[in-house]
Amino acid sequence: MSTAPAGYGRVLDLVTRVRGVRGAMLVAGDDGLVVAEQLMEGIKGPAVAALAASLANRLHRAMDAAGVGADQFWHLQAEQGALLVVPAPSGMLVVAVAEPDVNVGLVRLEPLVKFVKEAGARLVLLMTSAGQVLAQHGFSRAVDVMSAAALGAAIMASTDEIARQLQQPPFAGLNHQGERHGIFLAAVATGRGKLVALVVYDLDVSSLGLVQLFFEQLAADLRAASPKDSVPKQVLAADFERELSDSLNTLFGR
Amino acid sequence: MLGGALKDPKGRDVTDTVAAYLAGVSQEAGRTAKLLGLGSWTGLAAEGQHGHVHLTPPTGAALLLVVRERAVPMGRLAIIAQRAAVAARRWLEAQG
Repeated sequence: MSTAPAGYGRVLDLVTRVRGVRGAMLVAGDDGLVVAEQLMEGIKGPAVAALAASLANRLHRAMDAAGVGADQFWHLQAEQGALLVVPAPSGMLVVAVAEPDVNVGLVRLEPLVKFVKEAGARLVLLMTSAGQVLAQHGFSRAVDVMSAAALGAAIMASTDEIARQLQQPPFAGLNHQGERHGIFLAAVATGRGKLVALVVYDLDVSSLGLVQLFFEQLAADLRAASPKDSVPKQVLAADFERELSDSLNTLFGR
Repeated sequence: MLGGALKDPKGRDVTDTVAAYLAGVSQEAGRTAKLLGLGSWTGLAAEGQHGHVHLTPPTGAALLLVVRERAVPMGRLAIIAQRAAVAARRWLEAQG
């Protein structure tokens, strides 16, 4: 089975765990390209993505004309298999390829609804309090990630200092609300120290409440995954040189 | 359009418009099932914000659409669509 990037792995895991599902993928609804996939051998991911997106677009237009509103879930049943699709608010499609006798209720209820709730976030960046990136989702260029991490870490450091001067505990989270987008910045205390999450969300498909809900789940998962009794590894000069060199290469394409 | 009618929630007749869109949906559903090696497609069910739809090809050349409000469960809609497909098949045969 082919693998998916770590950020999407859990979602696709939940789908593919259901008996009868032969594979699951995330597809960009606009252009029909694969974003992430977990497919059994023999399933052509690009073909599934392109066809599912095309059918989704046509079905969306027909449903709109019929006055039944936007599609929230659809299921193409064929003699030797089925295609299950959930359009997410972010414009992505969660697509599952399944055996003909798959339990459709199980596939859609458990993981897909959860994903749709979480997918309100457009960009997510997880970093250390010093701005070192640990994971990201949605950024298209490396330089964007570097800039966002540096700026996010700086904002967190500034507000922590303000809180310290006001003699109160650090702020739990920060929310900047613009006309179309919101930016949510918050820290998570883990066994390996403080991590910072930067979340950018669209106001027309998400909300601060939804992002906070998503963030609480993320924070709980991070705490659970963080080693508790291990001794932090000492940062060696060699590592520092290598990481610096990698960062410069990424930034300037050297 | 061979038979039936469809009105949107505001009471406007959208039969011909939806039928035109459905031709494309049917072609794409057939192409998708074929290219993915799933055999012939037998049905397409979709949940909308305000209603559910079920699409079935009762014969190779015809397409049957059933639309109901959201209160009707998808499973029940599938049964209604199956029965409607049987009736449609008979009706089409009777037309010669």
